[in-house]
Amino acid sequence: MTALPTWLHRRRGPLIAALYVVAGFAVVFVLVVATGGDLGAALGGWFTGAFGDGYNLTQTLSNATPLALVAIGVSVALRAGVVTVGAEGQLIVGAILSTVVALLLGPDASPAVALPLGAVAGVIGGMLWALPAPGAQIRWDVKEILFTLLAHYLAVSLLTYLLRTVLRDPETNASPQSPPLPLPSQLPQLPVSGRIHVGIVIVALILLGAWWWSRTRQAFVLEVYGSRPVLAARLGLTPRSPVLTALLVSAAGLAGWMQGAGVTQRLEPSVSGGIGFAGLAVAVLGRGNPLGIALAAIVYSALGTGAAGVQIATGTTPTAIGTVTQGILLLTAALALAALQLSRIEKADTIAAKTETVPA
Amino acid sequence: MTASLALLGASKSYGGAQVLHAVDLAVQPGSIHALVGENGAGKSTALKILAGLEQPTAGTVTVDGAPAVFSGRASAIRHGIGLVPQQLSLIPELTLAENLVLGQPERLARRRRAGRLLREAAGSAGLPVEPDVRVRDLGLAQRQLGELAIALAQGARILLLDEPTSALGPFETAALFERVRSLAAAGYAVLLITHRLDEVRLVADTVTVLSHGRVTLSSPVADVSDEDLVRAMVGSVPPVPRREHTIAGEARLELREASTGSTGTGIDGVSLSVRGGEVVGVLGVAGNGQTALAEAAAGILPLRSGTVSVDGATVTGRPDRAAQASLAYVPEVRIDALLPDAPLTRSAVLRTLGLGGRFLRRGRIDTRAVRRFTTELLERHDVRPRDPDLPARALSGGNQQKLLVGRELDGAPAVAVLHGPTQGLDLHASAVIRGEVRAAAAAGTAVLLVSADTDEIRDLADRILILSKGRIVDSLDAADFDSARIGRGMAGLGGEVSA
Repeated sequence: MTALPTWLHRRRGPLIAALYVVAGFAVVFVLVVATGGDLGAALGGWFTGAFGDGYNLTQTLSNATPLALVAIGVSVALRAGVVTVGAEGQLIVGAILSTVVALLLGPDASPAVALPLGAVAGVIGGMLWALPAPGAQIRWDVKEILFTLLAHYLAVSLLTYLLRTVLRDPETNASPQSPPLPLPSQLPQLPVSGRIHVGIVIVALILLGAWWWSRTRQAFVLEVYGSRPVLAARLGLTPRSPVLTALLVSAAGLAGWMQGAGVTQRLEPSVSGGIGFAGLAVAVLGRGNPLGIALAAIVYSALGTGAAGVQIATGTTPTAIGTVTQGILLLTAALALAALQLSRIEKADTIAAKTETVPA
Repeated sequence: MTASLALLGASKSYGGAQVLHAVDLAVQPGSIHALVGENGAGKSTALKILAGLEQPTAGTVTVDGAPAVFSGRASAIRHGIGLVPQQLSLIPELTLAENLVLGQPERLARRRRAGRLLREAAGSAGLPVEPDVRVRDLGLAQRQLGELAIALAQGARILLLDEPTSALGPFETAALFERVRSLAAAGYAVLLITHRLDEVRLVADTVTVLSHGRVTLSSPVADVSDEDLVRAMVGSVPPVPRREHTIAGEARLELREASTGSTGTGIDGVSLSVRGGEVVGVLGVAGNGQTALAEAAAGILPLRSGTVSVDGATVTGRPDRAAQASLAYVPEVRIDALLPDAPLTRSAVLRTLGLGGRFLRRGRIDTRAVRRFTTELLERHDVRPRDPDLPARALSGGNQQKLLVGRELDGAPAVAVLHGPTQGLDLHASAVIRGEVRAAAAAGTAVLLVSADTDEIRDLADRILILSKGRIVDSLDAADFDSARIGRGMAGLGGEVSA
């Protein structure tokens, strides 16, 4: 009789983690039923909406692309223990700068020049926006999370201002948006059914690079810095550089270029659309692991794109169920990860306590 | 005259270990009584009993001649016993007045009244305190006076001061003592716990010396010589035979006039050099600049002036250069040098990863080589459990230390800075680590051993430096080990020498 409780006790970390996930699903199901939806229909509708046909599938992947890109950058910062919410602002400024470059180059430039220049402009824009935060952190000890959060509002205002003034499309008076990007600056679409630009290939390559980098000495030292800055200093990391690299490396500026050049093909006020913040969530879900990030980005994006399918299939459950589920996914994942980590620490402490009594 | 506060035959045991043996101690009103002794002599335990934080196993506490049983700190406060602990207990985010409110029994936070109480108490005692400034904006000396004022505002007539000068500079110390003397003159009874004999001479009227939990001397200060006090503190230690070996190496670690900015716990004008094959022991009572010295020597702590060099290369304030010059460092807090939640394979390569391309393969970490090295390291140093995938947290303190010392001494480093490498270890683990330190020295490493453990220093060091208030105050060859001389130096009575 005592065997089962002991077994439960020993595995309570993973069990609690599993319970959180089950509870998360339960909440979503309750919401679907409460809005008059049929569970089976809702699930089926969600799957069709997210992966059902070429268009829906590419829509999901296309939304996942910038998420994964932002998450890669954020995960580098997280590795060093730097929490930044600056991706949103970097993305906006990256998009602005690459749009300016595209418009300056005009319709006669060669795509072989225009596309790399646009990408570089996006990266530089993101970096420029990232630079003041570590500067203020090193100089005045301002927390990077606060600085980057506030800088985001500044970026939004800058974008709105530019879209109503110098970048405004003279053809349309009503909506604040830039003229369409000249053709050479637009990212080509992949030759598949549906609609997805070649950016996904670039992101896949970057994920591969990130995987390679994650086992270099530099990645290791950056990780050591997160918990033991003094040890990282011994390994050659001066206290300034990690915060700097971690923030600068954020790939959000590139994502800004990709959204403009590949998706909307002009600069719109909604260019960021919360991707910067969602990318942080994806980085946490993917646990800094490139494969995990790719998977998390697709799941997260699918929850959003599949929601339309849920509404069509049930007829009563609104698409907002997608946003709700994304939130619940984040919450349950964070709780489950914390439960697993706690149980690992507890297990290690038990081992240490056991060896303490045995003469070494 | 009836003593304000006294211990009568107080004994205290923890588990099987008796730390106090029938201690008698009496603090008279209007006088300052010093309680002195080495680390571990039982001073803190006696203090805890007097402050109401512990109960004696046998014997009694009396207040104004009447036996008193304290159920806790609050009950001792009601008996008029104020405590200024060594680690100041004020909450930095609050003002002094708010800190006083925290200690009050009533449920309402009456800030204004607390401020008034504090001002009155401080005013009558002539203490310059500011009740409405946040504690973190006060200097250390002001915080100390603040604690004192809070004790007075709580109605204390008996003041227990635990090592009050350990974080203070000379001027602050003098100012504090002046206040304490005037409090005594006003009729307060003061018990000063210290390990510094110069302070006893400076301020106390009577003195009690504890050694290994027993009172070895109790007398008016004027009637005893410094020699008597030192002998009572350290006892007589039988001489140990020296191990013979010659040190012919070049100076590998050199500190020249190294000073850190901070007073109190920093170092001030320390010069020393350690030759290859030599073990130089730095002995001192904890809190006299050991941490600063070790960190400065390891290139971690930036200096205000002076230099640190390893094999001629300057490494001052540059831990990366120190590591490249092959300097090994075991800090005082061992978990700071390990990654508690990462697998041991990571903690094991923290010093050497990438030094001369080690453990790297085509730009990436060669996990197989790292794993092989970790397994060997665990085996060689008898670290248990012997599983490279466990996190460092899963090792007991002794095993963490064996891993850490093993990692740092691996591959004959040029210099090893070891801070208390065997602290808190059992005899066996401690013997293993001492053996490794000897082996490293025999292989040509220059070892700087910073420790508060006299036995460890005697066992390992070829030369002994005494550190007191951040300065090297004495230097002697291990062959001339003289416990009285060392005791004098550690107690702040020695003259200054350069090492």
